[in-house]
Amino acid sequence: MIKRSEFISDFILKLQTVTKANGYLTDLGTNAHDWTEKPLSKKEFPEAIVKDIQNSFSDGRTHVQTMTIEIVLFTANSDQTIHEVRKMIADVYMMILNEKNFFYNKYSGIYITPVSDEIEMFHEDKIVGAASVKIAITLEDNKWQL
Amino acid sequence: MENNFPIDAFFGAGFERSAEYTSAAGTKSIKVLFDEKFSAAKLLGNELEATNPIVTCRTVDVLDADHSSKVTLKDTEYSVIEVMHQGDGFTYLKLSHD
Repeated sequence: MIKRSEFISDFILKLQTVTKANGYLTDLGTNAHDWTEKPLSKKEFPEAIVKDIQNSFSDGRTHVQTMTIEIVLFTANSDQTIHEVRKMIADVYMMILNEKNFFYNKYSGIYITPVSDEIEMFHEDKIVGAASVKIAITLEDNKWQL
Repeated sequence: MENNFPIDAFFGAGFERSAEYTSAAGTKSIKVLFDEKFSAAKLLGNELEATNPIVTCRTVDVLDADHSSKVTLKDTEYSVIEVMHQGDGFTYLKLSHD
């Protein structure tokens, strides 16, 4: 498995530990998975989708790459939806804080930093909330090796 | 402004449904035309399966409709989230399960 896929898989595995039973605020980990474009069903919420949307390189001479990961979160919880969305965002950051040693030990030279988060709300037959949490993952590796 | 349409005929042609309409004035039975079409929404660029439940009513039945009004069809209670008076004797109420 290439490092990029390996990291995403590890990230998803850790995201799947985000449950109330594990001390988090939400159960977003019950349906956390890799990037798909299947239309979303409210019956499957809460849901978290991990997308490695961009990879960039510091310059042509180094072996440092920065991958931007977007964790897209969805929930539908009636008038509590917006509060649930905020909790889900907090849980993503908390998971990274809790698991940082795992990532630092496994991936040499890794640096994880938050980039931004964004919320969007929708109301037709149900109130649905969504959030996008962007994280930058900086990795050192051999040139041309992802 | 009311037009000359036989509005009542729309609610007696066999497609109408009985609904309980609740507003600040209380609850009453009205006739509505119910529709709940699929609505492909986009949330942060992701497609979401949704529906757009809406009832067509006689305006005179729902003049006081607002966002605290409720419509119950069979055993399902909906909240009114948008009131669209058409000015021709018909009013559309956009509904939500939440």
